[in-house]
Order: sequence, then C-alpha cells, then structure tokens
Amino acid sequence: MSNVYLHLDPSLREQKILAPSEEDGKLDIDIHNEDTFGSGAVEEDWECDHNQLVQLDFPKLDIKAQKKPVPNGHGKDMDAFTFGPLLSPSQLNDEDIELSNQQLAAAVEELVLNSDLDQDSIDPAIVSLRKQSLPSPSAIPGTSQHMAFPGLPQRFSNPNVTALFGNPPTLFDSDKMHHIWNETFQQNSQQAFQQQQHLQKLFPQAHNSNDQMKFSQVNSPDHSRANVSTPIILKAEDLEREMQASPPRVPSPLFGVSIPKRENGDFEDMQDRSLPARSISPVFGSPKPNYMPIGTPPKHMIMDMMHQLEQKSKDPTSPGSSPHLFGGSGQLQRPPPPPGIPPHQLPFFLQAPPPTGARLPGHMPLGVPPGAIRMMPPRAGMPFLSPDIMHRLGLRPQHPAVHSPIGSPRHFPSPPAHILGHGPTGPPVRMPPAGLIRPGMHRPIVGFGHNRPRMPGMDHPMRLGPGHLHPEHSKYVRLREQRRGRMDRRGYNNQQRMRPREGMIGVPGDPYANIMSQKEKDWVIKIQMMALQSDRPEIDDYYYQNYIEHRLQDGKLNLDDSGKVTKRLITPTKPNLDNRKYVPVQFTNSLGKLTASSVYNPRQIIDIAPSQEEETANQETPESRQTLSKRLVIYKTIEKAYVLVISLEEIGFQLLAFNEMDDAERELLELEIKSKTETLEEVLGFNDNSRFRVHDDPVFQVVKIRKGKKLITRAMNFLKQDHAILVVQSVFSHLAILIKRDSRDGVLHEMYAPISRILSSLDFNQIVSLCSMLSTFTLTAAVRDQFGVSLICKLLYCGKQQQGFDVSEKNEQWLKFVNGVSEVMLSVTNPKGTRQVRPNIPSPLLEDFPIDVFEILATDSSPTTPSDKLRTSFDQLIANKDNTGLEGVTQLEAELNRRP
Amino acid sequence: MNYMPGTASLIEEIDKKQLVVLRDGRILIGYLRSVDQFANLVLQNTVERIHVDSMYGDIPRGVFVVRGENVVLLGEVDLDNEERKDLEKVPIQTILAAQAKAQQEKQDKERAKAKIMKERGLIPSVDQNEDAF
Repeated sequence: MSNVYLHLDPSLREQKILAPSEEDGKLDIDIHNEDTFGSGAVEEDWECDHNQLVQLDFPKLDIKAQKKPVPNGHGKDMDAFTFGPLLSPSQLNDEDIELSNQQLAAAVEELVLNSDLDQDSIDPAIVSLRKQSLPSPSAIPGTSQHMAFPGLPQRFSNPNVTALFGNPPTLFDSDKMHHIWNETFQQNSQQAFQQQQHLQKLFPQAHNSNDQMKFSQVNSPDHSRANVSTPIILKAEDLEREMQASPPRVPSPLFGVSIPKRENGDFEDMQDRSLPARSISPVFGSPKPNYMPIGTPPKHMIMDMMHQLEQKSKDPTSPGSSPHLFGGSGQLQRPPPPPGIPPHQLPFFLQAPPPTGARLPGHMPLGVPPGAIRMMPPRAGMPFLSPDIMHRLGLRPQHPAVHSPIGSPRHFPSPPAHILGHGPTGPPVRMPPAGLIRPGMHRPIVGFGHNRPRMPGMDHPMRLGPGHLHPEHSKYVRLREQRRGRMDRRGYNNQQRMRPREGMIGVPGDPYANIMSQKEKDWVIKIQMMALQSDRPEIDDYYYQNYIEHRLQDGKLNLDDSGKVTKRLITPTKPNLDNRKYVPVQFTNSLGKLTASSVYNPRQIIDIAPSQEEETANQETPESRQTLSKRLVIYKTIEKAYVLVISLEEIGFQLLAFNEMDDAERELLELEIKSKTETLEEVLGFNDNSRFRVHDDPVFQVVKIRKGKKLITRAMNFLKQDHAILVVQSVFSHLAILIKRDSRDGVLHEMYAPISRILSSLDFNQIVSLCSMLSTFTLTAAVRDQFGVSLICKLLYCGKQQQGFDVSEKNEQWLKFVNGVSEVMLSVTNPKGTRQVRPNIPSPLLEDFPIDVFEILATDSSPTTPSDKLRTSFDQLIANKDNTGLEGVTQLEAELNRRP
Repeated sequence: MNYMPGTASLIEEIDKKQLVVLRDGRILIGYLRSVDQFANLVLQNTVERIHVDSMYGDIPRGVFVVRGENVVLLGEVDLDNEERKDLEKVPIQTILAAQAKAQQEKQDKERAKAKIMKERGLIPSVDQNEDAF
C-alpha cells in the first residue's frame, strides 16, 4: 500500500508486477515501527484502523485502491530509517529473525488473549459492558478480529516475514530501473487514469491526492531519471513532514532551506501525525528536535538501499530488500528533486501523496499544503475511550467501523472534506511553491484535544446500564436520553467550532497523546467501578435509594433544585459479587494454598475461616449430626468439656493462690465456677433431675474413651454430688467393660481417687444400691483388676463404715454382697490353691482394703460359711493386714489428701 | 454528561491541558498524560505558574509526576480564554523577584504582627504557609 506505483495505477498490482510489494511494504512498515519504537509499541493494525478511519466499506478492490490516495494519519511510519542502519540486512540471520518473530508473535498473542479475556471476563462490570456495547461481529466485517484482540498485530500472522530479509544488494541495474520507472508506468498510464477517475468519484476526500496524481502524469518520468544521481535521497514521507512540520523542525540541516516562521502562535498543524520526539530526541520530553535524527543513514548507505530496492522491484519475489531502510517498494528509490522547486514541477513520485509506509531519508522543505495530503473524516465518539466505556459515558459511535481505532495511539479525527473547503469535485488546487505557504493554512481543523467534535449523545447517555439506579429513575434516565438524543442531533453542527491551536502538544498530531493505553484506562475504570459494586444497594447505597424515593414522591425526579438536569454518576451495571467467588489458585503438586491474587481476584485474608463455619453449622443441624459418627460427637463433647474443666481448674488455682482476695472477687470467681460447672454438666449431658439409665448413659460413652476417663476424673472435682453419683453409678454398672477396655489405656486407676471420695460420702442405702449394680460377672472382672479390686474394697470399706447393725433389708443385701465378693475373690485369687493375694501391689489401692470386712466374714458363722480354703485365705489376709499395718494405710491416706 | 466514579473521571481529562493545584500551593499547568486510581498524575510540558498580584510567570518544568495525595484540584484549561487580559505575563526572573519580594514583605508583616502581639501578651500561632501563593 505504500507503493506509489500502486497509488498511481492500482491496476499494476493486479498485473502482479508489483503485487507482492504491497504486502511487503506493509510488513516493512510494521518492522520499521518495531525497530523504531520497540516491538509491541505499535500494536494496532494501523492498516485496519486506517480503513476504519476513512470509514470506507468498499469492495476489496476499492479498499486496496483507496489506501493510496487517502493517507493515513498515524504518524507511526516516520523515521524508521533513523534506526534502520543499525540493523542492516547483512547483520541479520534470516532464521533467527523468523524464529524470534514467531516467538514474539506467540508471546504477544498469548499476552493479549490472556489479559483481555482473562481479566475482562472476570470482572462482571466490564463483561456486562462488553456484552452491552459491542455490536455483533458480523456488523463490522473485517474488524471483529481486531476488536477482540486489538493488540494482536496482523504482521505476526504473516508467514512471509523472512521474505523481508534477504540477500545483500547486488549490482545497480539501471535497465531494470528504467523498466520500473518508465515502461511499466507508461504501459499502464491509461489504465491508471481511468482508475483515478473512478477513485475521484468514490472518494471526494481524496481529491487532492488525485490532483497530485494528475501532476505526476504530467511530469515526465525522465525527470526522475535525471535526478537519479542526486546524492541526497528523500522519502515522500519526509517531504511531507517537512511541509507540515512546525517551525522548529522545518529548517532542515540537510538543505538549509527553511519555511518562513509562523508569525503568530496560533499556528497549528493538524496534519503532522508523524512522531518526532521519541525516536529522534533521546530525551523524553525534550523540545522538538531541530536536528537530523539519530541514525540518519549516510549517503552511501542510502545508495545501497536503492540498489536493494531495485532488486526487489525487478523481481518482486526476491527477498532482496532491506526492510529496515525502506518503507516499501520501488518509489522509495527516487532521487530527490532540487530543493525549493515548486511542487508542480516535482517529479510525479514526489508529488504523490505518500502512502502509509512510505518514507524517504532526509527532509525536504517543500511547501505542499498538508490538506492535499491527508484527510480523514471525523471520528465518531471519543477516540480515547473504548467502546464499552463510551457506552458507559453515554456515547455511541456513529459508525461501527470506528470501534477498533480506539486505543490506538495517534489517531485523530479530521474534518470531512467540506470543512476543508474543497468540494468533492472541485478543481485541483495548485500548490504554491515552497516557502510561500504556511503549513496548515488550508486546513483549519476542528480540534480534538480540547474541543474535539462533539458527538451527538456526548452530553447525555445513550445506553446506560441500569446500575444501581432506582427502577423509576433508570426508566426516566432512559427516556431523557432518547429525548435529548433527538434534540442534540439537530443542533449538532452548531457546536462545532474551528479554533486555532498552539504548538504540537495538545492538538491532533500530538505525539504524546494516548501514552496511556486503552487497557490502562480500562484498568483504572475497573478499579473504581469495583468499589461501587454492590448486590444490596438498599444497604450500601442507602442515601441514594432514599433520595430517589423522595424524589419520586415529590414528583420531580428529573430536575434538581436549580432546574438543571444533574449529572449522573456512572455505576457498575451488574452488581453481582457472587459471580466473583475467590478460587484459590492450585497447581498440581503444590502444597498448601498459593497466594496468587490480583485486582480481579483478590485473595481472601483467611481461607480457612469458611470451612470452620461450615463445620460448626453442620454440627448444629440435627441431620448432619446424625451423619457424623457417634464417636466424633463424643470427641467433640470431650473437647468442649475439657476446655471448661481446664478453665475451671485455673479458677480454682486462682482461688487457692489468692487467699487474701476480697470477698467480691472470690464471689466473682465462684460465680464463674458455678456457671462454668453448669455449662460443663450441660455438655456432659447431665440434667438437674436426670436419673441414671444404663442404656442411655452419656458418661459411659465418654468414659469409654481414654481421654474421657481423664476428663471425668478431673471433672468430678467440680460436679455436683448428684451428678458425681451418677458418674459413679455409670462406672459401676459398666465396670467390666471399662476394665476390659482399659487394658490398653491403663488410665482407669486415675479415676480411683475421685470415685473413692464419692464413695466415702455415700450413705448406706446408696452404697447398697451401688452394690446391686455389680453382678458376679462384673465382680469377677473387677477382682482381677487393680482398679476394680480397689474400688470394690473401697466400697466394702465404706459399706462397713455405714453399716448399721439393725437387721433390715438393706443389711441383708449388703451381707449378701460381701459374701459374693468374698467368694469371687477367693475363687479368683486362689484358683488352684496356690494362693497369692493379688491386691498387694500398689499401695494406694490398698489404702482402704477392707480387711475388717472379711474379718466379719471370718467371725461370722452364717450358713454361708466359707470353706477351709477360704478361711485360710482370710487368715492370710488378716496377717497381711498386720504386716502392712494400718499405719501404712493411714500414712498413704494422709499423703493423698495432701495432694491438690 | 455523566461522570465515572473516583479517579476514573480523570481519564476524560487525559491529553488535555490541565491546571493542577498542589497541596503546597504550587500551580502546575501541563498536559495530563496518565493517571491511576490514586490520582497520581503525569503531566507533560509542565510549567509552574507563579502569580504575584496581577503578574504571572511560568517556569518550564518538563515532565512532572505528581503523587496523587498532593493534588488539591485539577481542571482543564480553557484554551479559548487562556490569555487573560487582566493578568500580565512577565519573564521568569521578574516573577521570581516579585515572588521573593512578596514573600519578604509577608514575612516582615508577620514578624511585625507577632511582635505587636507579643507585646500584648499574645503568642501568635505559627503558620507554615510561606509557599502558599
């Protein structure tokens, strides 16, 4: 597209003489852009953008043709030559370049895809906006791809990248040059003229360009040949820049010819869309450069380039051109005209409007009015906002094709042709000679920066999402939009003004405009929108909701107090945070939770919190309680009770430690103990009037577990007497099982002390009832065990203490029990006659060994008189009692009592 | 015209000529190039404008990055009415001299005032607003 030949005669391209050069030229430009700005700096498909800018939806042939007369306004195509020599073709390896290009392409594609799809799809505000604002892809033929992936350059998908890097230049071949310059052109000149006529009809905006075409036809091609040997080469691009540049850039150090300085400060140049400073001036923000750009190729290099290009033009398929040095194809090799000649005398190729990628090294101070070169229709909408944001703001692009340029830097709207003062079919305008024309003179332009053309609907929302708006309010807002939309369209042109502008900065063509990319803008907007998202506006947005309610009641929703229509804050469309549930990032083989968070996916501070809540919730519901295993419930009970017991013990220690504390404090602590004890009893399943039930015994369930035994041991110090008796009853009734289960744990003996204390406090009736719980089987099991036998001995002892000598039913029961115990004991302790008194092992358990109980038996001559064996056993027992002595027992008791 | 929440509304102001007043009273005029959610600003072609009486002078500052917390206000410069008739633009040296002079006068005045108040047994509160012009 940067081919002047193509511009002059598009039919040439169809003849496939120069057909590949178009594609090559575009690629060249892209690569130039990369070289100049770094890869990725110019991400957009400028060609596509350009097509959209000119708002032309013609068939394919016409689109290709129109690119020539209608210059683009990107300004990205400048100065590629400045860095071109740094990468001469001979330094580059084809394969390396191809490889790196492919990698870059893949990387960029991935980056763009990920970032755009990922983040935007996460954020509901943006997603909903997208849905709302994007027209259907089919509505924008050829642009939908770029809509979706605006940062994905087309060039990356082109496999012919290697074709750009080719062999070193070969010999200068003037014959072929001649062929290119003359014959081909002449052959097709007639066809070209027809094509121009057609184009003129099609594109009134391109009128001036066509003027130049005519010039070029008038001029003899020989003119250009005569200048071949001119040492300094100009690109049409530079020529154009010279013509349009603001004064500091105008004086060219090459030629020393300058355009007269502007006389007032309000000169402005809308046309200059080249990007001067970033590549030319190494210092960011430094004044506009006056110098030759860094890296300007020396003359001999330029000649080399010519050679290369010539090779390329000669054989379009040969990869012989240097993409770094030339923007495109054959026209670039034309020699420059002598400086200062009027444009109409210029060789045709210099008068031709330079296509997008065309560039010539050097500057040329020729005063072709910019209006003749670049024209673009005004862009609808605000160029610095993406479509969705525009919709947020209530803007609607006029043409669907203007969607994709958004976000691409250095696009500015230009007025339509009628504003420029050239009728679509007006006569060609003769160009004044250089030095007599002030750049921008012919083209007062509607500004963009400060008073960009006001679009209909800019001051009023066209399609606003309901957001948090009260339903009535949103309905009203929508109505108002429609009404005002009609109004403003009528008065649209009145708002347009032409205003002088100053300098390069702040005007269209401002090289620093759109430094903040569209993505960055969207990002900021997203953050701010997220702050407003709410799924319960009546709570989070209470005052607004109430305000609207009042407005509705007063019936003046539409006006504020001063009668003006108020501005409305844009709020997120769909406040649903539920869709954005935090999902911790998980990778395979990763341990724990990874803290990968972003603005779109903020990390929850404590990931563990909800799971805990779930557990407690499960515990509360009866259904889930059933699902939990019984054992788990018991564990939970034990855990809870343990916490209580420990705190109770702590309080008890406090009470002990501070004997001198106030009564009030003591009362406080005791109250606490009381309340906690109640809680504990509740946890353990005691009720005030609870009675012992063998089959539904919560204590037994607890005691079955090792920890539960310890818990009960400690808890019995705090339990009420009734409940403590319940515990003892539970233990006695399940003694056999407990002893059997304790064989592994070995903690049952710890329960002895509290139980024996309880037993000591029992009256005779209670003891007898306890005795009735002990079956022979239980006794047998108990007697074999240290704990069991100690317990029974204690029971016997206490019973002996309490036993009255009145003959009653209870007494008989008691005697029966004692007799049973003695029998069991004897049978267990001396099964084979080799009698060994078992309960002589741990002294604490012997403390209360009820020897005198058995003395009773020994002295008693009841019908249940034991046998001789038994009698000898008792003798031994009595003797044992004498040996150990009661003194030892009392000593041990004292010791035990001293312990806390 | 609707507006976006928070600093998102600044995005519309990008690439326009803005006047920014900082917390210390300085006035910057430049082209807003970039903002973020904290209202951190990047200004290009910035000048610092000093007003003394009816005179003003611009000190070129170039690119200016302003931390958002220091921004008091930001407003677009109306290019149509940028040149005010009632204000006179003077060279930098002139305005700097005028500023120094005005500051000196102010200091003297403050000192005199403090002295008088001290004579009457009043301790004046110290105002740290010498830069606030």
